[in-house]
Amino acid sequence: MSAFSLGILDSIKGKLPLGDWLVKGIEMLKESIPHILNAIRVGISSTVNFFSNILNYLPNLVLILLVTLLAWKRAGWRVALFSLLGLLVIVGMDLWGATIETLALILTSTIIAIIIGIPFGIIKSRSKIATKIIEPILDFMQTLPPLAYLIPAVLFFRIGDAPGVIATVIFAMPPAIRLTALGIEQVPKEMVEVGKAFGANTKQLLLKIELPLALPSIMMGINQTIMLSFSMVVIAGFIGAGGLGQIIISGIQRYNLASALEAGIAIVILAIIIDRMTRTGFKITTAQNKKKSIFSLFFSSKKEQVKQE
Amino acid sequence: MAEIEVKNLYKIFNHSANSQVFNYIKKGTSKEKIKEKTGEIVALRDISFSVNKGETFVIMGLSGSGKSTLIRCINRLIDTSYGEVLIDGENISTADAKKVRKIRRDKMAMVFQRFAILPNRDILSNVILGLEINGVKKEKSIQKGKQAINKVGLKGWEYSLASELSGGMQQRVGLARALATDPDILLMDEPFSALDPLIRNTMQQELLRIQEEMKKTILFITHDLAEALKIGDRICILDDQGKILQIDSPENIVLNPKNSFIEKFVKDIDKEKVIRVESIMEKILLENDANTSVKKIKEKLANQKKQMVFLISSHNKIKGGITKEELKKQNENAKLQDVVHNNVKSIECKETINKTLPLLLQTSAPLIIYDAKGSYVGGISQKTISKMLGGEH
Repeated sequence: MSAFSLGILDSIKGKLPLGDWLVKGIEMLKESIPHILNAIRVGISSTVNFFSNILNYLPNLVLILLVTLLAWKRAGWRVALFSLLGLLVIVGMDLWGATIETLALILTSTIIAIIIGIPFGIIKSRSKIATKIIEPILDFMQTLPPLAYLIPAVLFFRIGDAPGVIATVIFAMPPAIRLTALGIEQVPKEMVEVGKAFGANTKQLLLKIELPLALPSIMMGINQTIMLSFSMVVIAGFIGAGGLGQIIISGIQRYNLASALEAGIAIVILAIIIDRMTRTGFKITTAQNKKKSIFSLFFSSKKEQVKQE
Repeated sequence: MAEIEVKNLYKIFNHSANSQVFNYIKKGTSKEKIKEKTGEIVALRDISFSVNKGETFVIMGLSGSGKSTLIRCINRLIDTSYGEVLIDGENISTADAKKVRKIRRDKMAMVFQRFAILPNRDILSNVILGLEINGVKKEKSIQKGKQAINKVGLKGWEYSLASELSGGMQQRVGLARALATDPDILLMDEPFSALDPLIRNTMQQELLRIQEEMKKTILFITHDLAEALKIGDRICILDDQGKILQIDSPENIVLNPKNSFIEKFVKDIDKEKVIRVESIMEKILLENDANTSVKKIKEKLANQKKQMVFLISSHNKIKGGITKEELKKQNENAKLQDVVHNNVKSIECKETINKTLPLLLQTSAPLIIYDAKGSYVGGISQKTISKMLGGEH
């Protein structure tokens, strides 16, 4: 390389310590708002604890049967059978506790990502200026290697579940924003005109026309957010987030391949179950459908789905 | 009273305030040329008309004539560039957003070409959408929604989804949704264009039936002249430059097309189904002296410029009739009662010409025509009809 260097740029070589500046900036920010950061940290870890407590409160057999039943209703008997067997395998590998912890982390991250992501998606669909601001930020969030922002997360929130959840939210939120915006933008013009022609205001237009019609796309965004959470929650094991991620990381570090592989398999099982259950998220409910919904919890749900697709 | 009034409306897309577009419009440059020169698209030029309460006003034009833009200017789904639209005296084109919403809620409803039925709602909750937006209580809106559904003949489909309905039924839902809020004005944007001909015909009849009953002010858009003639009280024809060519009653459009553009459309129309008897009937002489001589009658007809004579009794009963031409062939000294054809048929003046044909074939006498009050106002003979169909009118 040096053979082609003309020496002109030597004077600025190494003169831009961008990394140092960023770290200094982070340190300053951290010192100026310690209470807020602490509140966020506590808020997140208590949410994670709340979910894991609830999930641990139920005996594992009851939870397994509930998940199986739900899978049957939402995705048919094949997925239900897979759920039953898969969850039994997890119990068999003695990874139930870690799986629950991972699930709690994913629930927390997904909920935060959706709560932030959907409103931003709506804003993005509404204005071109907002799109111009949000779009590059989303690109940044999606392309920055996840390992690179684990460190700032630790700087802000120390190690533990909180930085893990924050990192996961940042990584997993873009599809929720993008697909919400896309869904709203794709609502047929005539449908929006219907609302306007009957005198709907902006809020009514959003709640009665746009969001319901964008729902399939929004559900796809939520599904993608959950799937991305799975991959990130493992990486977050590096900074002390608990659950299966931690087992995988420590398995790699101690060259305990058996336990790392087992935890990996558990992640895959959990991911498949949740993916199948959230993929067919959009159900058109009519009064007639509502009437027979308890009945259809056990029967005919698969057939209905085929029709809706 | 005028329910909708449009005054000198212009719609120019991509319009910039200081552009030269008006110079071109004044010169009558075509919109393709104007677009080439200024980049602006002139959709509507100097549109003025008013629609009376209870009237069905049809705007007819080919695609690209700006008719869909025009109907959207009326409820301001599209902003007008120049001119004003008054709804019941209120200027909607300059009103603020809140006022616009109020006018839309209180005064008007719209029916769409591609139905625009929300797929996630069942029929009933589609129909009550307007009421829901208006903040009407749930029970009340369900009751009104069911009434509207009954009115368009969809009883029993309340809880179905749009995807389970045929096109014609979906447009019935669109109509019910518009009627549910009980608006004064119905805006109908090519409502039947997406339906196949048989169903379109049924829906047109249905609309006429509902209109007979409800007397709404209807602004109806179509590209089909036959439909316009069937439905409209008055018809406004737009050319492909977004300019009004003619506003007239259906008969006048057919009988007196203003230019060759309209003539071309009219050529394919079955005139006898459009033209009403009253617009081609001829002046008649009513004679109650049965013993008058043919000679005297001929003189009377010539003096009063009348075409036929009917002999009536003292009780206003028709005893016979004969046309001027036939009278010429009779003996001058014969009595009127001996030369007239008996078995005279009568028809109301609002009926269309095609209804007279079977009556004329049943008798050799001319037809006598009465108005809504029952008094005799004119007559039609076979010759009148042949003259009209021959285009001599």
